[in-house]
Amino acid sequence: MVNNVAYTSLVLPDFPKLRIELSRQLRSDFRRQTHHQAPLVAEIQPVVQHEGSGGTYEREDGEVKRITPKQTSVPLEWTIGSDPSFAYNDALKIINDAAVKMAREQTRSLFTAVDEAVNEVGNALDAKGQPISAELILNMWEKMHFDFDKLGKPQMPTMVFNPVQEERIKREFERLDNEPQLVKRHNEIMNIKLADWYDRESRRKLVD
Amino acid sequence: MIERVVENWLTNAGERGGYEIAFGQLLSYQGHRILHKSSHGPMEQGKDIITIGPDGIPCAYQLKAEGDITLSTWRKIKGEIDELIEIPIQHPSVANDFPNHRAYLVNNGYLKDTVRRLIHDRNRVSKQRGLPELHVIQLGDLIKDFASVHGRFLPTEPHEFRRFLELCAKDGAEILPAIEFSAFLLSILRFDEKKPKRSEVGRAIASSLVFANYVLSPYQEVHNSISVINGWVLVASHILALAAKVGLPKNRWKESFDLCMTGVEAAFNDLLVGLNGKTDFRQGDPLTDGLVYRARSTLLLGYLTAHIHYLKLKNERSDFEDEIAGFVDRERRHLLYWSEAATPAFLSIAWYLETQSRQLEAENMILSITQAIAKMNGPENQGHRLPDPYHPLDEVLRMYLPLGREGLDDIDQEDFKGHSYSLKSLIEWLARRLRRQSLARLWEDITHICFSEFVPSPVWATYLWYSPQGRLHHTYPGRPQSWKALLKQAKRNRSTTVHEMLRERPEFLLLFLMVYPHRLVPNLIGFLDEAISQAYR
Repeated sequence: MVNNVAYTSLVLPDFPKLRIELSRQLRSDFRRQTHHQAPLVAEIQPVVQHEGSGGTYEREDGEVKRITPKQTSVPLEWTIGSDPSFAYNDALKIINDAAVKMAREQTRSLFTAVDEAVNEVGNALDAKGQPISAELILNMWEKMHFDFDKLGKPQMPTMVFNPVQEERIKREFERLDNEPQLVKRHNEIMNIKLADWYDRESRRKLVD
Repeated sequence: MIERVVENWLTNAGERGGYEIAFGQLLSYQGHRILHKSSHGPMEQGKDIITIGPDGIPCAYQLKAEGDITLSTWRKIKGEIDELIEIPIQHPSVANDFPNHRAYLVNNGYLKDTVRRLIHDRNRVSKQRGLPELHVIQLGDLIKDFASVHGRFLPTEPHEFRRFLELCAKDGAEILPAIEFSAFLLSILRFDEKKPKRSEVGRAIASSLVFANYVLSPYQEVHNSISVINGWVLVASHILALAAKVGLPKNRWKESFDLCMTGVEAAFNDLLVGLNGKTDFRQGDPLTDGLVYRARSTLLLGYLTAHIHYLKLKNERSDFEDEIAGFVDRERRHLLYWSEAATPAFLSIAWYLETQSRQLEAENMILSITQAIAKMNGPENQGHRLPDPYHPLDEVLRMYLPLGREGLDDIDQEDFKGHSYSLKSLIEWLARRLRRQSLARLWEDITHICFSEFVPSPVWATYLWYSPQGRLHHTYPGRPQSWKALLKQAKRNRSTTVHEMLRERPEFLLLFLMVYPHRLVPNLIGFLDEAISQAYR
């Protein structure tokens, strides 16, 4: 992003080494800020592809699926720093503004990709207009794949919801913790998930 | 400009090796058939290069890089000149009952008047005795010939020319920067031309050798043989890529390819002569040498053992086998698996140990790096991970050392958790040796790692450093994995899956992988495993 800046001339003193350092620092700030703004995206481990275009992966059933990379970019605009008061913090502000836009774009792309994947495997849960509830959350978890740590503790999924629903969500989670019927069902689901996980883990071996 | 560039290169060629391959290429381009290039041993009898000229007459060349030849220089080289003229060419393609060849002294300077007079007088006597006259090719002739044949292949775009100059100005003690060198070769070979004429392609290939010889001069000067080997392997690979891309007949590129391999062999020879008598690989400032010693040791053992396999696959033997065996014994304990780029070196050493009937040591070595990948790139590891094979050695070493972040831009952004480019090849290598129990113990860790493999497209792009097209393919280890299925897969015949240019020259394949570790894939390792095992049978 910062690399695309068109330099006016190399004839004038340009301080290239200093600017490379600055550019590196600003890019690093940009990445950090993007991750801060898009925590869900930050959780995803990136795989750098050094050559070629796109990729494929083989599913357990042998089907080869294509991965088509999509470019995500945000426009970056500012009046060139000929203003005598232009300082590092001004550059940082430009970078931070861009990071917010980039985080939004990346999150949108992520949701689109997740949506496509969930629909493809038929794992979508249609709430049919009902508000979010503890029962709905349990229904959702029932359809999901859970991993556990070595002590048998589930790695709970990240939930994304509209901030206006925060109070309601808190309330529904309290119900999950306190209402005996819901606690019982929650435990039953987790026991099944744990058994599934043990089953999956037991398959990590070399057999005849 | 080209004349100045060529003059600068030739006058700074401190040794004949500085322009020898380029000169061979020039002769080839002028229609000579190269019969022999000397390895500079006692058998050379004053003849560095032997050819059959375009008119069918045998020619012998003695190459010098003496600058201007004074009387004292002449006295120093006179013995070799005598041999050049008086000893007939010893080659099956040449009748050798009497000297009937043309004799050339080639030098990167001019003759002083006294020497010119001596040669003139000597030629008169030679004529009376029926011996060949001595022809002299001087700096001016070389400049004219090189410039006229290769001039227009000199990079003309400012950024390409700048890259060329930057490469020429590199510190010869460094490892050759493969990425920049490859980009430079692409510009000389005009890879971006849609439909190049075949005649032009042949010329571009010839020029790539000349300019490569120039760019490799700083490394040659300081006897940095590993970089010289890397350089010639890169040139040879780019020639294969271009030849395959345009469908060039073999007779139009093979001589250039062979000249590259001559460069590789000469560099190996230089390395082995330099190491002869040494008991370790120490060099430079002792305070910092210990921090890079293990990487150097690993690289050197990889290349030295690869040289033995290279010769064996050509049905030849190294004159330095005992020395190499000594180095492997002494240095093996220093091996460092710094990243997946070290996999070809480890495989080469393991193959070598197998040929020395040290099967268990070989297998344990490969098991240890298999385990290292599975553990270091597995989910439990919180420390350093093993970088993928695309990152140059110095960049990876920086990552392990408490230095600043400069130069770490690329590697810093990557997380190597959960994937590996060489794990599948190593698993199959072990499976072919029936290490079922060992693999079974590692399998749980292995299942957390995804096998990555880049598939270049079109296939000839395999020989480029970066293939613009192609896909990164991911597969996952079986959960569970059937041993029978794994064994079947590991033992399947790979010959049809390997591109014909590599299939025809397995001896080149290991060197290719040493220089291009990111091209290491199960098919190539399976094919090489079989070829090496057959060669030693």
